[in-house]
Formats: sequence, structure tokens, C-alpha cells
Amino acid sequence: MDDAQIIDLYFARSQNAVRETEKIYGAYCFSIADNILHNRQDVEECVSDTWLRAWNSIPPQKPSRLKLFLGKITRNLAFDRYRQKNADKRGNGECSAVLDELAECVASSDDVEKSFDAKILRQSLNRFLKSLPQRERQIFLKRYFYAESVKSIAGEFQITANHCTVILKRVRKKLQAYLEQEGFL
Amino acid sequence: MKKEDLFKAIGDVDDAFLDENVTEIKHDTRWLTAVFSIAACAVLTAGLIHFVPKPARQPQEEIKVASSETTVTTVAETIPEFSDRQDTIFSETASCQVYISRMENYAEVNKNAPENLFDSIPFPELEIAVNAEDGYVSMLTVFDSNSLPRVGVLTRTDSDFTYLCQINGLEFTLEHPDAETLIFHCENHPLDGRTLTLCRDAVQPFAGISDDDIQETVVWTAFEENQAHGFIGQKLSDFSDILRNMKLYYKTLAHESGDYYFTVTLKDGTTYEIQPTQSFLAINGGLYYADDATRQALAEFYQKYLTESVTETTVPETSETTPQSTTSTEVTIEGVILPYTTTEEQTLPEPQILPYTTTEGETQPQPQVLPYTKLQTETTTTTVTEAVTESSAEISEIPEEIQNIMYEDDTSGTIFSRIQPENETHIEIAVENGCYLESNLSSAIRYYPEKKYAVSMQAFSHLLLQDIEEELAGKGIEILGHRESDGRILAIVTEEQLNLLSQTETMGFLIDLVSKP
Repeated sequence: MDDAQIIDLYFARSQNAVRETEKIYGAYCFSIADNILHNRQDVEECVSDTWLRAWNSIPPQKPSRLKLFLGKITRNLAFDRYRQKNADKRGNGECSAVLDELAECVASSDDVEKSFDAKILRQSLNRFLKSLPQRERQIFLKRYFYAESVKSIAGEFQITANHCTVILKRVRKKLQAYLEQEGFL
Repeated sequence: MKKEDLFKAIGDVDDAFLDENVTEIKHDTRWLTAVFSIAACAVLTAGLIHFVPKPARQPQEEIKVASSETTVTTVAETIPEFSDRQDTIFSETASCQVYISRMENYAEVNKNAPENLFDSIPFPELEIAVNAEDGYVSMLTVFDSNSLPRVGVLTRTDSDFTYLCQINGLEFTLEHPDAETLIFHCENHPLDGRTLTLCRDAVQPFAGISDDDIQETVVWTAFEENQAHGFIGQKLSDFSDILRNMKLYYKTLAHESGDYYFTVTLKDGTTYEIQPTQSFLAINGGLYYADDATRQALAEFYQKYLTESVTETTVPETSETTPQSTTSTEVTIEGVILPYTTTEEQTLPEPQILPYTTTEGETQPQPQVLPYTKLQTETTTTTVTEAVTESSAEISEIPEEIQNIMYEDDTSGTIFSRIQPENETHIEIAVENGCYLESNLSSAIRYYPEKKYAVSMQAFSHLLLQDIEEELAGKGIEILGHRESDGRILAIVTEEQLNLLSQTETMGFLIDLVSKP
């Protein structure tokens, strides 16, 4: 069953919509949540919440790429759950490392509470990503969108982990400079 | 802004970015893979001979440039200042994944230094690897008086832009404050404190060349007339044809001069001299380093396009003064390259005996740490009690725990293992993490059946593995197996077989470790 058929099921409010979604994208969403949460129970709950969120969102939304739509929901839910569970302590796993790395990008911000428009930030990020070479962009997103481990990314791109780390560091520096230039820092 | 805000914002990026296919990227670098594949081809053909002291080049008329109008753009021509600036190295970072820049004519700088300043490393040449993609320096190579490379892997310090390495006990420091500048430090070295300028745009041999160029406008030019006439000036539409011709060409040149190089001529007449070496591809003197991924790609490419064994290539008759390079080979023991040839005039060096430690507590000398192999101190020891059958010929018969280390963990470093002479079912493994000559590929096994040696041989291509293994088996040599990641072959040989191996004309592998019997 393709995306369009699944979305039709959502629009028809058919219970099969969730079943088919889980069948096709269950593993994908699970891996995203697992990268962030590293806890099977949390991950399963997060993925279940994803299906519920999708059920409530479609309609009225009609995603053009259901996979990415679900992936983003999963990521956001997983991150919210991660933050709840790690409010008072540093967590383990990739998400902590990812956040620590991203902290480098905002390290020069004098006022961490400086207001910004999330929508404008998103647009700026898109421009930044567009400016990157394709491989750097993909490595960046593998790390900071999907929270994949450096080792995993390195394997996928057939480079050494050290090389991957260096690339990520360079991109973070670029991002920091870009955010400063755009007035976010 | 907080890091969490940034993380959330990244989660909202355009779907188009998330939808990109990784495989498309690989496609983009296909031509580069192909170029490096050519280097592997050369290595497969005659890679070891590169490090053998080169015989004097044949008189120019014997190495004919097929097209007299072809101009090889030399380094000096490309970089006017190069000829008189020994402190200039050049680098090109636009199009290659990994890049090595090279300084030549170092002797000019070095001549003012006391002769015995560095006993074994008078620094006639020096190479500094710069990763083109991210600009980081990664490797330093110095060449001793015999032009043998001494490679040091540069380790980054806490500062992003300072690198350290040790070669033969000498500590080198490179400051890399920006993409164009390197500041070289080595106590008492003539270049200590000097700034080396990376001329980024000086040499861009393949910048801007697309796959289409390779297929339609690149013409491979050979030097040897008899081999070249068939395709000089011809526009080749099939890249595999180029490579097939390249194979002949390499062989010819190797045989002719003891050196390997070829030229690539573009449609506009620009010609580049390309010299493949063991791990690098030198283009107009600039060396491109083939990283692990590239090596893998090379093997795959080779397998795809060059299915014929290079040893089957017919080598044309040469003049009487032509060195018999096909009988040349090279032995590397624990990373030390010991070149020699089997010509009658030269003496074969004895295999290096490496010390070991027994499990009974009897202390033997520690494994020798060779000068340019930087080993860290941490050593972990694992005892495995599973048996290894001496006659094993399949990887699967090696205990799983060893397989895991030998065949799966490329990062674990050098592997020392052995079987007790009195109890061949007991294996001791010590894994030493550290830096290696040419990345983390180095590994070895020491195996001690009675009166036999364990040899580790580095094959240059997975494709040749089967051929080599068959050839070894034909000589009655027991093969323990090979490692998939780098094609390293482990075998058990008698002393007689070891000598035979050392003298064999088989191309495509290096003996890089010999155990103590």
C-alpha cells in the first residue's frame, strides 16, 4: 500500500490507516525514537503516540511525504519525552551527545533567552542546509535530525568515524557563524 | 537561543533535505573512485616495486612519448615559485576527498644541515597530508636517504589546529592556523619554525572534470610506442576500455623504467603526469591519498572492470639494460619496508624475528615498536581456549573470538596472537591500540606451529585474493584465511616456503609480518 492509499484511509477514518502505517513505517519511527530515548518502553510509547498524533492530524493535514511527516512527529515526541525524563540529569545515549554538540553552535549567545521567531529560524536553517555540500548536509541531518551515532553515519558514508566527527565539527562551526550572521546569537 | 531550540528547529527542516538519497552522493564521486581505482590497478600490477630503489631511468628514447606535442605539466611549471621555494608545498582541496601535498627537492633545504643530524632521516623529501574535505592535516611522511617513506599519523592536540606525530623518535608539530598555512616544528630540523604555504589553487588536475569528461574527452596517453598506438588520440566512450588499456600501460612502464606513471590528456591538450604508488596517486607531484573507503571502492571497481589478472598481461620485450622488475618484490615486516630484489647482485635480507611474550609468565622482549608506528601504552589481553586446526584453510575454522578481532574490528589495531608451541589449542591475543602506518589497517597474527612461520600478507585487491590464495595453496602453503576488510592473508609456512614466498614473482601482496618459529 502506498502513501496515498494510506492517507485515503486516514481521510476515511478507517482503523486500518494506523495498522498500515505501522506496518510500513513502524521500524523507521522506532529507530528515530530509539536513537533519542534508548529505552524500549519509552520508544514503544513514543511510536504509539506518533500514530495517535498522525490520526489526529490527518485530516485536515495531507502530508506529501508520509514517511517524513511521521518521522518528524516521532522525533518531536521523542525529544519531548527525553526532556521530561532528563530535566534534572544528563541522560545517556546519542541525544545527550547531539545536544552537547549543538550547544557549541549557540555557545556564543550572550543571552540564551534571546527571543527569536521559530519560523524564521527554520527558514534560516533551510537556507543554511541548502548552502552545504550535499554530503555534509546529509551527515549533519543524520546526526542532528535522526540522532544517529557517529559510527553509524561513518559506516553509511564509508568514511572513518574520526573523519565523520571532523566533518560534523566543521559544519557546526559554519552553523554557528551562520546563526551569528543571521542575528540569532 | 538554547541548544534544545536549535535541535527542535532542525526537526522542522524541509522534507527535501531529508529525502535526499545517500547513494546519489556516491554517484557524484564516481569519477574520483575511478581515478583511485587506477591507482589500485597500478598497485596490483607492480605496487611493491615502487619502494625498491629505483634503477636509473632508461634513456629517454626508450620511453617514448607517443605524441611529441604532448606537454606534461610539471610541478615546477605549474607553480613558478616551486622551483626556488623549498618551503612551499601545494595543496588542492576542491575536488578530492583526501589529498596529500608534497614538498620536493628537500635536499636543497637540507644540505646545510649537519650530515648526521638525523641519522636515518635526512629529510630529502617531506609530505604532508591534508584532508581536502575538511582541511585538516592527517599524515606526515618523510623520506629517508633511500627514499623510503616514514609515515607518521598526525594526531590532533586539544587545539584544533595543531598536530603532532613522532617519526623515528623525532617529534613533529604542525600548526595549521588556516587553510593555506602550515607552521612546521621539529627541533634542529632545517625547517623548524618555517611557514609552509599551501597553494590551494596551484594544482587542480581534476577539478571540474565530470564523468562525461572521463567518458568522452579524456584520452589516456601511453609512453611506450608499441603499446600505445591503439588508443592514442582516441576518444574512448567506455571507461572500462581505458582501464584495460591502462593495465597494459602500467605493466609496460613498470617494466621499462622501474617506475610507473602515465599521463592523462584532456581535450584541451592539458596533460597530467600521474604516478600511482602504494596508497597514493601522484598527479603532477601532488599526492592523493586513498582512504579506507576509497580502497574498498577501488577493489570493487577493479573487480568490475579488470577481471583479467594483471599477471597475464604481456610485457613487451625491452632493451638489455632494462631492470628485471618483475622479479622485484618487497618485504614489510611489522611496518618496516625492506626492499630488495632477487637479482643476483643483491642479497636477500633475513626475515625479521619479532619477540613475543609467553603465557607462563616468562618475560620475553616486548613486540618491537618500529620507529614510525606510534603505539599507545594501553594493552588488553584476551585468552581464547578454542582450537585452531593447523591445517585450517577456511576463515570459519578460526575461533570466532579471533575472527571478530581479525576480520571485523578494523579499529582495534595491531593484533598479536599465537598458539603455544606445546599446546596448539591455546591462543593468546593481545590487542594494542595505536596509530598505524597508513591508517588502521595494520594487523598481524603470530602463529607458532613447530618449525613454521606465520606470515601476514597484505593483498592489494580483494580480486587478487583468490588468485593469491590459489597460488599459495599450489605451493603447499596452509592458509588460515583472509580478512575481508583489507584483504590481508594469513598463512602458515615452513622456512623453505617463506624463502620461496620472498622470492616469488607473485605480484599483489606484501609480506608484512613473519612470526618467530
